[in-house]
Amino acid sequence: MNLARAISSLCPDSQFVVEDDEYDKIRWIVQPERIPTLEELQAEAARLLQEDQMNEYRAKRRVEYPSIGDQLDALFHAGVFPPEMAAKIQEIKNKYPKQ
Amino acid sequence: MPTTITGTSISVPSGGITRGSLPSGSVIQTQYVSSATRVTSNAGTFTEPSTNYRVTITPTSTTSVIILRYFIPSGFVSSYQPYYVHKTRAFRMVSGTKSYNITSSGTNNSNRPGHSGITLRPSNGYDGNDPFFLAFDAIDIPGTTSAVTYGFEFASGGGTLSFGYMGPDVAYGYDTNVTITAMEVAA
Repeated sequence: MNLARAISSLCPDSQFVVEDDEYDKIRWIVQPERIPTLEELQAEAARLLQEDQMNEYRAKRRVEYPSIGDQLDALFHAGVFPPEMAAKIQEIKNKYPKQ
Repeated sequence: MPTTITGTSISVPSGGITRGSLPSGSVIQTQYVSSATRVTSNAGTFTEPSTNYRVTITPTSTTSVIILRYFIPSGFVSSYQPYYVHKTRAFRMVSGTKSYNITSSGTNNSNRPGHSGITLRPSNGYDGNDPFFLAFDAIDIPGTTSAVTYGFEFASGGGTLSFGYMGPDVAYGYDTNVTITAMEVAA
């Protein structure tokens, strides 16, 4: 179980220290209005884990996508930027020409 | 009679080596902790992750120098954390009182703390699979022959951090003890 993540999800304004991922070793630095029970945290941790598994494709895609810079450069060269933005970019390119 | 080294021979005073007979720079003793405690926390103000992350040394002289080595394998439990500033600082504790004026500390300047420690600021985002290692040295002259305990505190700039591992449900990374070493050196 990931107690810290479950606490952050259920009590986003709290601050805490968890030792060894054990419920009895939670120290509250900023205590929530209501301290969640172990069962509530277990249920939330399971829900978050399931959510991660459903979103795994996003992480896989993210590492294989071209960088955002490369994507924007391709759009610039395709001539699809608004004229003002294209002019700004071109001005910088002219200022620092390739050697 | 002082301790002398001649060629391959070492002459030791009768009664053994005492602190006063050791040349400057000699290592008098080394203490360490290697803790299997695993911690996760999002504390935004300086907080000690665990009292298990402490090492205690009793200097043999008030002039002794203590060399400290901190190795704190860490991770981000929360996803994507760009530009957060995470701070770590060493402390010295004598007779139950903590202080942060380790001898090798600098001077506070606005948001730039002068303590002995390390600051981390991921510039392009980290997620739960990215390890980082908080590792730093510090030098202290505590000026006492009482037991001195050293540890560290951290303050998260945002999100949850882990110490000693990558977090409870991260598939990658490591599970590695936090180690702190304190070495007493003759002045």
